[in-house]
Amino acid sequence: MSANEPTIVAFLCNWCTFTAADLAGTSRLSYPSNVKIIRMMCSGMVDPKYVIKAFLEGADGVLIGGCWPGDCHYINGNYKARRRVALLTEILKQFGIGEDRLWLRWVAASEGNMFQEVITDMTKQLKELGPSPLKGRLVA
Amino acid sequence: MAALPETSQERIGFYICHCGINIAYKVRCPELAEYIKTLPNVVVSRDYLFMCSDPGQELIEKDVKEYGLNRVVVASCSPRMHEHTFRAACARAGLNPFRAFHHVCVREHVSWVTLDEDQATEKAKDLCRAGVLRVQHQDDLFPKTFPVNTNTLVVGGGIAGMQASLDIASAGYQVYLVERQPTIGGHMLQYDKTFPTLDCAACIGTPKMVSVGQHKKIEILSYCEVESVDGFVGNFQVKVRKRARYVNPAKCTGCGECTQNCPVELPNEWDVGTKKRKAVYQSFPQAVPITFVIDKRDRAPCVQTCPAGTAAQGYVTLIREGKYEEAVRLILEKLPLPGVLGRVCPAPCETRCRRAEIDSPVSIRDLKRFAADQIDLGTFALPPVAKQPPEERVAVVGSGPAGISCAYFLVRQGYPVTVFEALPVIGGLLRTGIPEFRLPRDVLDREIEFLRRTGIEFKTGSPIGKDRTVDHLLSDGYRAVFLATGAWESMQLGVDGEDLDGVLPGLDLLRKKALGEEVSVGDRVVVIGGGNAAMDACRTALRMGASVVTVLYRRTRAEMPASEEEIEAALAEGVKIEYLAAPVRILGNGGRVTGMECIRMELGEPDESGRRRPVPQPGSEYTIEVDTVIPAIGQRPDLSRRDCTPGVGFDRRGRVEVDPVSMQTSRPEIFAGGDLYTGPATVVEAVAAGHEAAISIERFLKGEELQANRGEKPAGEDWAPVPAGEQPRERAQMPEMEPKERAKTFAEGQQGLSEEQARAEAARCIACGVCCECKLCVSACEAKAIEHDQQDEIVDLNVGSIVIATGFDAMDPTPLDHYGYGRLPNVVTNLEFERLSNSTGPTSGKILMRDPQDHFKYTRPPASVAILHCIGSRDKNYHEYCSRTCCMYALKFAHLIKDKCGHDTQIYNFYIDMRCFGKGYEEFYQRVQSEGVRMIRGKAVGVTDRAESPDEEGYLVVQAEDSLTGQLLRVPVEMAILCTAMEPRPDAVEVARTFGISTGREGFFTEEHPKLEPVSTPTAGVFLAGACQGPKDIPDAVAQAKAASSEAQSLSTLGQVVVAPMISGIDPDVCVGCQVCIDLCPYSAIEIDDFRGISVVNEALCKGCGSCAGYCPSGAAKIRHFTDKQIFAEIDGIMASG
Amino acid sequence: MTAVAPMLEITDAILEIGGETIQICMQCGTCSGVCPWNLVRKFSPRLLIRQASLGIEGYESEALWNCVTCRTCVEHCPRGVDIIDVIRSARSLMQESGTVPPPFRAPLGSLKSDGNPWQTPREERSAWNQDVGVPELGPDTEHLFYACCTHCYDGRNKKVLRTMARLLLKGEVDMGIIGNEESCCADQAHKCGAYSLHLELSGANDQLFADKGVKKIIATSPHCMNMFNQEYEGNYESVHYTQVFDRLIADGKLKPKKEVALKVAYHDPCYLGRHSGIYEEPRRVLWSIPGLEYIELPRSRENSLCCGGGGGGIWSEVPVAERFGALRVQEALEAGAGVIATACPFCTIMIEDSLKALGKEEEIRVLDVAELLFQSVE
Repeated sequence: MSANEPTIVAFLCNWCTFTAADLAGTSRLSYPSNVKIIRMMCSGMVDPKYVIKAFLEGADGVLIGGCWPGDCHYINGNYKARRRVALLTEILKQFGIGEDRLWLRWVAASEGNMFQEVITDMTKQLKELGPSPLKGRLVA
Repeated sequence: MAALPETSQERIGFYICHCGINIAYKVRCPELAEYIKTLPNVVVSRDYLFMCSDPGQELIEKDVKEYGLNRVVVASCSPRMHEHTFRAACARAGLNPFRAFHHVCVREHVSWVTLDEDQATEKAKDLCRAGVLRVQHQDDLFPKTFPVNTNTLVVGGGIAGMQASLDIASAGYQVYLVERQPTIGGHMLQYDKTFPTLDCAACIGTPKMVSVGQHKKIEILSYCEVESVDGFVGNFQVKVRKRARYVNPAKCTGCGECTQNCPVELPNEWDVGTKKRKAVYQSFPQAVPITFVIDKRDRAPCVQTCPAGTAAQGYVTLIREGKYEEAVRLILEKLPLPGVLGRVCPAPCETRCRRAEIDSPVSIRDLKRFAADQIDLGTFALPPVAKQPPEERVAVVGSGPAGISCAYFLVRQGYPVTVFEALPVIGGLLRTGIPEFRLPRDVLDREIEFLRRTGIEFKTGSPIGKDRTVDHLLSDGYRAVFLATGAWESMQLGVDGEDLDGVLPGLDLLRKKALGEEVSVGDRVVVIGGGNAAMDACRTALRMGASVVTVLYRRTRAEMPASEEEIEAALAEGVKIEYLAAPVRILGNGGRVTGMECIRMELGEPDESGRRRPVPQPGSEYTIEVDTVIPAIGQRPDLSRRDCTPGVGFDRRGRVEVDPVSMQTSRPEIFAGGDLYTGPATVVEAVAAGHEAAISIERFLKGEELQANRGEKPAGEDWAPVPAGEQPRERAQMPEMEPKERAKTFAEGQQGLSEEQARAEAARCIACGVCCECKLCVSACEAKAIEHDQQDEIVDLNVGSIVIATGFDAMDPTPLDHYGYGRLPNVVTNLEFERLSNSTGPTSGKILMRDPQDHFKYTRPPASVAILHCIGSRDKNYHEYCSRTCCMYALKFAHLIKDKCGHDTQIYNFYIDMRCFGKGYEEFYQRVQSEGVRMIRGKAVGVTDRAESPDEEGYLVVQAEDSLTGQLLRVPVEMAILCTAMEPRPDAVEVARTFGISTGREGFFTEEHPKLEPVSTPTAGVFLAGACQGPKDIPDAVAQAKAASSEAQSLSTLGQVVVAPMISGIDPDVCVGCQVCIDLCPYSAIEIDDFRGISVVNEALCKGCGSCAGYCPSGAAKIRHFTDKQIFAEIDGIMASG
Repeated sequence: MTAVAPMLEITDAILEIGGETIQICMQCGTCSGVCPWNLVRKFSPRLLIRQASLGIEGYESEALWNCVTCRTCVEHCPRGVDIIDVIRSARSLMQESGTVPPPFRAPLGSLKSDGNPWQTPREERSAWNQDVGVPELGPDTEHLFYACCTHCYDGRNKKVLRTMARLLLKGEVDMGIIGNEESCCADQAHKCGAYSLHLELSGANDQLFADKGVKKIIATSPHCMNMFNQEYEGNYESVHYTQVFDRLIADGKLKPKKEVALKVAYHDPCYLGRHSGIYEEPRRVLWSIPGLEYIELPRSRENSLCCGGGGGGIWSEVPVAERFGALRVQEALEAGAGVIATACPFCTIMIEDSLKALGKEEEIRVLDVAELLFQSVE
């Protein structure tokens, strides 16, 4: 992908945002191809390591998609994700990764259009931000 | 890119599916296959038209054998679609499917959402590469199986819930049917006829209800709600709240005598407010179960605020009904002195009366007085008395309200009680502290006489003190003693001259006056203080002949503790009140009072009571001429009281120390209460204390625990709504003597409400608690089925599957103001019309117009009716969806009106499109058209009663454009029916959370797949039926119910479920035993192994959410199939191109 | 039978110009049912949409120019069709084909030549300010005070404008004017479908405002305010003068003291109310005036009846009996009002013309909210 095309790694909860991504497809809602989805069972199982690893490998943005507060399939995994992301943004700042590169979004299974919006917005914003400062600096 | 295992034995097969053209039109599949082939360890890479087809699956199986593949990656649709299919193929080929297979989604996530072919192909490469890397790190996993509990929970007793229950039960499995309403039946049973066959809903619905009710395998839990659901498919634990019905179903015969006698009326929900029901009711005559139910909300605020817990709403309601004897009997349940309290109670009940939200509080106290005044206590039947052993005698010391009350409640329980009174008269401060003009002696005497008749023995002139102590009483055979000797000692002013002749404490004045002792006041009297005692003293002084009576109070009127009406009465009678003034000293001459020096005060900072502290203003001293000074600044218990009760503790201010709940002193057989404990307080508080003591004494005598189930005042604010449209009405005022007249006499100034006034006043009550606990139903019920003290219960159920059939609500059209609903009496909703047409409805099935003057009265059939489609449906501003049923029931309404009101009735249907999609529906449309119903193609934009021509006068005018002719129409009709949207229940979101399912954009529950899984949900074992999933008609709801029941049955029949093995595991070699995961786990599935000092996962409980793995600081906790290596490999694969 | 083939290219053109919501219309007729025209004559927006969506004859009739863009239909449309956009787009096609009805031609021509629709020289634009003394907009001035053409050139409204400006100055509002360089906000051109003219005028203003560093605008007409907020490139915060009055009164900077013993009914201008959602501020200004007896008309707030002046309606010739203004006057008289208060120059003209035509000058007057406030503040 050309240098101006950001790469987004998306960790999506199987029950809501992943399903919303499926629905976006079934509804033929188009969005930029910059996002690459990794299916998780719950946003609460997204280990901070995964996010850091994605940035170290050169991702320009990471999206964590979970269920709306109160709707977690596993009771409260999304709250845990929220806390972790809050801590993680602090750590990432030391790497020069601002909070505008790590997005946590609640997208319900029925919100295919919202998934489309999130990806479109995120891609647009990452393009404006330019490539990740870590890109190309580290060797895997 | 991360390095692969060095000595790789991996042999990977990769397959990209064209999905016909669905994938291939954007992703260049052959190119992708070629590319993947270049990756390490990929042995086979193919593209194929339909991988999910049988030949496609066989291709995998064949390749596994031929090429010795041990890993398979398929790139096709979403794994939610076919992951299972390909895992099965791998299993057939002899591989562990979890180890061997990974599914990449290139249809929903790539080809369908990417516009550009190059971009789609590149993205597909990234994802497939990630899959190929990931699969190499997967491990063998073995799914666990669990037995399935064959019981099924059905939530909702409408037609869908009933049908599902019957089908499951007929297959031999136990069903628990939970219904929120008191009866099953649901919306269908509210309807009259059903389209298109015009079967009567009741004729086909009630047999279903009866079958459900009688089926041995169905347990109906009506008036119940599901509180929580735990567990997983096949093994759910459900908690159901069984709301108190207050009627015992085992005894209730459904005769309805209770309803006949119930005095509380409110709109019946079942009849959508077209008709009233009583507080004890049955939704409709065919209800199943037949058991009645009492609609009891939280206790009314009047009851909650009464210290004695008097059933104020109850006796007010009985007074409205003219049942004065019953009212007094109800009051006597909590208060022994109705006439007294009806006069002197400060009526805290009125402070929170919600009638004030309309106009002003109900005059509850005056009503109590009215009821008491209607009854001849001399012949009044005594309350029933329990039988107790005669030797269990109790002594009460003091005959004030606390003592009387304690004695009364003990006597009612059957204990012999003797009240010892030091004075020659009975009544304590009621007699000696409250002047006659406020509480006439004959009222007090009558009530004391009545108490004597109940069996209380009064001994006057029998002081208990130093000479005759409590111990004497105990040795005389009394088993327990209640001390209620009051607070008799007046507080001192603490100024010079207090011992002069002419200084007379207020309490002494009142007592002497009451006992007929010699007492007089001078011509110029000053009363010091601002409480009720001060008001009583000044008004008494006035009546004793003083010409100038002045009250001196240190603060302002706003802070005065005396009740507002007492202050007003005093002022009206001619008393002067000087605010912000206090005595400095009393001046005398020859031992007699001649004057008083006072000082002006100002209000400073608030003190600990919250009132602003008065501060003397130096230099503002002034002198007044006065010959009698009456201090009335407070009282306290007489300190000599300690002598009568050796061993009982008192505080510094002479107040007895008791347990605040049981009123027990430090000596277990001695109890105490009233002013002796609280210091000066109100009569009703003393009565409450006496009652509590009586309860304790009975328990003490029976050797029972004193504290159990006590001390909690009724609370909560779940009250009936303040009725809309209720007109403000004036609060009743008792006739009163002229102030100047009454100031001359000790006769009672206020004359009591007239019967007419009282009943009208009582009718102002808005029945906050709905059931008023008047208990008329209790006496009416021959079967003794009424149990007013029932409590909600929690029932635990174990079930294997759950069918949710919670239905829909009809939208309230009030916000669509232009249709005039709620404003124009003959604009009705579809559901109201169903009730009008239903033989159990308000008109017994006649379609009649509503009387504009009376919401609950109906007059004559309409000569013309407009039926308005799409009200709130197909409308962006409300619900965008089509409610699907309205077109058809609108046709049905048209037919019914023609049928019942005569063929010449004009009927107009205002529609946008007619949707007659079902079997026989179009034919029905044609039939109704041929009956002469006019179809107007155009949405009605409004209904008005503003006539624009004489022809429209007195009609409802419906406006619309007939879009076929382009004419603007104004159609005058007599009735307009709004076909309102079907909408999700307001609590659908909470219900969804309880069951772990989700709601869609419109708020209905989401099925797992809109085409292929219409009744399953993403939560295994939870199924949907009926309109909770989306608007549908009866046949569709029934069909879905049958589908859901078959899902539940297949689970039960199979008897076991396979649970995915993606659960957590903690590596015992890595775990450091920090135990963080234990708190994180939402399922309590992790325990500490104390012996090894590490955390261990309970595999039966773990659901695989990964909360533990996401945090574990040592990396010991892992979710199987989502390990670090697997995710890292996926990230590597994605990023490899960048 | 003569077959008429639908001209779908007409529809495509309308879609392209901004009438895309035409496609979701379900022909329910709600728009026709609520359209105020049907109080006085037959007019079916539904039919226009139908004809436009098939490109069949009729959409380009005179009826297309009836619409006064009052937005009542848009508020009620169950499908969310932006009917005003559809009307604009259809009119735009007529603009292109040069078939605009005669009454609209002169004002549109004047807009092109003089930057205002009143056929008055551009140089007279700020003549009203001579003895009022609103300063010129400086680089640090907080607000641009943008006077509507109708306020600047129409005699009756010029008086309103001067009163309004004096009140704002009295309230020490930091504001300035640009003057003769300004052009019309282009609302009329926009609503009449004169697309290129609209872009020309608004583009010129945008450039001018950018040069002057304008961020906040006090608009004297709700039409101008609406244009600045909805259609302009620049990101302006544009408010209506009644909103400013309301704030000044709340802050105690304007103190209505003198009694104004009048019975006043407030007429909600469509562009202030339905288009911008401002209902309370002008009312609060009236309520703050001592002695004023406030009357709420039966058709008010969201249900207000249009004066007939929007969307180019001010230029069309309508017989007295069919004027909304006349209906409004009758309604106010029935409600017992002696004054109809309003806050839009078009409403002032339209209602005043109607009451004169009805011969009711003795019974009722039209006053701007600013004029009433001025009487009380002085």
